[in-house]
Amino acid sequence: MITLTSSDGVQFDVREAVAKESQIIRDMIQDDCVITNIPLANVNHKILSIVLEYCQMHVDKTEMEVNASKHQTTTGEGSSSVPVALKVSSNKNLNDWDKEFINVDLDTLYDLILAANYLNISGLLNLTTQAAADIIKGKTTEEIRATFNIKNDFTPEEEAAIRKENPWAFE
Amino acid sequence: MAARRFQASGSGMDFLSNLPEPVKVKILALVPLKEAVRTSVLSKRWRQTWFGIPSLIIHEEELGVRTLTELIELVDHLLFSHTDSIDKFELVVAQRHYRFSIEEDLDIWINTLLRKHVHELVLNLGYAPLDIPSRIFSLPDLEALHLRGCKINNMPKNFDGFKWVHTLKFENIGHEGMEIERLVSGCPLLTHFLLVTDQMFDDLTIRSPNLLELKIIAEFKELHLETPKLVTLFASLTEGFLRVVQSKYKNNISRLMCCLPEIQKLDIYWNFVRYLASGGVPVQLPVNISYLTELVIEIDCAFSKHIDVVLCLLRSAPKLRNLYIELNNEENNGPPYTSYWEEAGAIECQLNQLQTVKIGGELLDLHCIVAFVKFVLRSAPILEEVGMKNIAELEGVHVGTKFFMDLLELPRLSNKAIIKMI
Repeated sequence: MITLTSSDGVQFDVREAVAKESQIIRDMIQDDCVITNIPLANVNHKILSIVLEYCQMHVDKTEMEVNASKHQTTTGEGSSSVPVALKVSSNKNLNDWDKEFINVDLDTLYDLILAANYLNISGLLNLTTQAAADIIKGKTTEEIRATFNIKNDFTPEEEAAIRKENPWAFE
Repeated sequence: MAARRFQASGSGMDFLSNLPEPVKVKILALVPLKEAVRTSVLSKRWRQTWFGIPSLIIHEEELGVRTLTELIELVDHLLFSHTDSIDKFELVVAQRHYRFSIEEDLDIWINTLLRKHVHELVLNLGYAPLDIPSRIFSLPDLEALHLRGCKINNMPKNFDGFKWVHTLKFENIGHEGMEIERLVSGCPLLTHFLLVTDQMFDDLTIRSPNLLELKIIAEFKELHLETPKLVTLFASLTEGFLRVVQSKYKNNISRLMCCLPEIQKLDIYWNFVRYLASGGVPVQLPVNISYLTELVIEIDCAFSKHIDVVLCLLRSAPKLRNLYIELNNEENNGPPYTSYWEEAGAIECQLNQLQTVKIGGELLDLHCIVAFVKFVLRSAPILEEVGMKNIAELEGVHVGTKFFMDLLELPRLSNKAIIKMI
């Protein structure tokens, strides 16, 4: 077990495999195998608990698949079609789970992006940046500004000049 | 549920702009290029973010470009504003009238890409082949090259290969002399090669020591494969090809198959089967194709030699698990050889690992189908399934109960084997 301590001092005891979903923790553990307590200065307990929920789920699913295929290899030849089917269905479940998981408000989404980036959890970073991209997609400039509270700090002349650089993009 | 997303963030803070620049770039890389470029006017902090996106995917029609000048300006601007290295550059020009006037610009763009260390280059320039700039052969960091509607004819004499290329895809391309062969053998790391062209090759030699997957739809007089690691081969001669397919080699099938000791999947279509069949077909290959587990083959049942090819491959592939066979019979080629599947040669065939067989094609002769199914059921001890394309749907066939009765009565070696319509 490994203890992760959030920026606001809350401790989480997790299995090593779960913590190792984070590349940065993986590297730490590899460098020094006696480490059991890792302080995470940039993630508060609210976000850390969501991140760990993600890691836990992904580790569980992967382990389930490995066990299933082990089981298959011991039951002998000729049954190779079964693990494939299992894998497909569990991937599908995991995708559904991810979709439900990422249905969070914008503030949480930002925090998750930052945490995934800081902890270097590539699956979570892909999932969260994709969610952000999906929100941007199909929106006008004004709608994007309004959604994300982006303040337009260009003068009208400056903005017109930039639009002129790539007129095709603004039609 | 979705509505929540469209509301402004609860705290009123502009977190998105505050994300680390690489993360912002990562997000922009996931939206269409046009929308990514539009983010340059959001605010000063977004002014240059899109310059860093690693892939420039320019599909002329999707971007709504109307004239040649617009297209050229667009690509110029994209390439010159982009500050970082470009991982992938893809240009799809759809409208015909552009094709003959962008050669010079293309040359300049390739030169820019050279400086930006492009890894993957996709040029899709329509159908009538357009000369590609010879500069393309000096892109030092290229890993994948996909050309469509281009002519490969000005390869520099001193071209010394693409050191890092693992994938080459050439579709609707024109070529001269030996350039394709030179190109392929100049890529020591090549693992995937696709060649689709209707321009004739005399002798086509694919020399590629690490090639794993070869897909070839082309026209050639002779084919030579020097691809000892090949795992998957898809081969078809260009459609509508009426020339008599005749190899000058004896036992052509042995010559070709024995060069492929690692082959696992074969996907071959009838003109190529004809090519394999020319020069005589042995009962069995001199060396087994021991790793072959999947065979997809299309034959014309009027030609006994085609059936010979099937039988020869089956006898030489002891690990074959899945067979997909398209049985056809074109009118002009005469009636199908039904009895062939029942003759002595077929009887000796043992399909010890065969698990599934699918039968497709347009064969109208039900006797011939029954004969083939009989052959399979009799030869495959662990067969699980024979799937048949629903032949009742074929025009001109009257499937009566007799056909199904015939199938039901067939003796079978495997007690698990079922027959079903798919």
